[in-house]
Amino acid sequence: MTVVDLALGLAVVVTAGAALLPRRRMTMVMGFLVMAVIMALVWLRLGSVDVALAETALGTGLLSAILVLLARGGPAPQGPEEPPRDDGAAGRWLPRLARAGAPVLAWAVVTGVFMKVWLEVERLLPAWEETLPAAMGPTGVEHEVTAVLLTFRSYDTLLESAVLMLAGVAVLAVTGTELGGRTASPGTTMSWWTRVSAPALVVVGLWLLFAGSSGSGGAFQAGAVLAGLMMLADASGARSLPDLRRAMPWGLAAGVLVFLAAAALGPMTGRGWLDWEPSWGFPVILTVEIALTVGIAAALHLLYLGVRARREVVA
Amino acid sequence: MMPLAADQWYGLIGIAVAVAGLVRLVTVQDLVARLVSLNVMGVGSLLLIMAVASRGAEVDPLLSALVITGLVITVAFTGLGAVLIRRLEGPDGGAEEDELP
Repeated sequence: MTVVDLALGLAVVVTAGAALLPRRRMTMVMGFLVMAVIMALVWLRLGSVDVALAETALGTGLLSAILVLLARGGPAPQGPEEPPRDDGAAGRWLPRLARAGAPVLAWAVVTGVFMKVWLEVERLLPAWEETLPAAMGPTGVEHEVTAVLLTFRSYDTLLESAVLMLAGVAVLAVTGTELGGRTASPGTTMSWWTRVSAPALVVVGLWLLFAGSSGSGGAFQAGAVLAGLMMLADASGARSLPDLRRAMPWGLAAGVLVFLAAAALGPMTGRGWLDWEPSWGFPVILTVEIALTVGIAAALHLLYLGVRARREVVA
Repeated sequence: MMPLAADQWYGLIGIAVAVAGLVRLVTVQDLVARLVSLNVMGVGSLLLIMAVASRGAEVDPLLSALVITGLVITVAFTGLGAVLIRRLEGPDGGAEEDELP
């Protein structure tokens, strides 16, 4: 453990406090935003570029944008009224102390027990029946995380994309006509910035998508970047987005449907479910990744549309 | 006491953060605060998983994939929760026109 680890770890704890303790919604959301940035550094420090990319695109990018929109649009927090301060009245401090102290005590006890266990256990390496590099041969991709997501644990990824699709469907179900409108343009600076950054974001998104087969990256990171681009375009008042949005339900379904079609390749050729010919590995995984990117971008964009403030929407 | 290894240290941080999120989740009333607490709790548990994954010479790819899945699911439930909170409280903080009186 080095000084960097010490500083990063303490920063995580402090920012977690900044996300949990404030009473104002915007303050806690800002605390969480900073925590997500620190977490991206922690993932890099722990050596996982894939997780750091996912955290940056999903955690600090989309999630924070959604939470900021939510905190900004809502009413003041409806927490319990602060008890009237009657200075001098003895005997009132005990319940107040108990209310503040009980959660802290509970946290200290549970954390202490878990920490003790964590420090006592043997530090074994995660071990699987067959090491992953040995099993990588027939998957069609070179990057291990992509191979795990789309070959070894493809059922997980299929259901995960289905969860995201269902979240998008739920947004379609609970929000009404405001989904179709566009945001009123906040001025030329924003649209200038979107015009400048859009090509770069498209390239970054596609690069993340195609780099996933040989290095860090993949459909989830790429979809998040593209959803971020659509969010930026909407916030700057782009006029063509509502047309694109008519295709949104189709895009939403595309990822899961193409994945299911790829899964059915196995039974069609006399193999198991989700078990395609090893020689087809690369084209099948690439097709699934492209469709997944479209589906993920559509689902994330719908989540953004669902929290957009209605007063800024032009029909 | 032996000096801590990096994976042990980050595991401790993960535990502290996850439990803090859980405690806040069950004691706070504001819906947005609950959503943020749930997210903090998720970050803590993912940190614990990655601490285990980083023990070897290279990060364990299977656990990394699991953590990426966790991040995506987090975004899905947070986004849906945000949309539902927005609907519960009215689109712009006011009562909705088609709401029952």
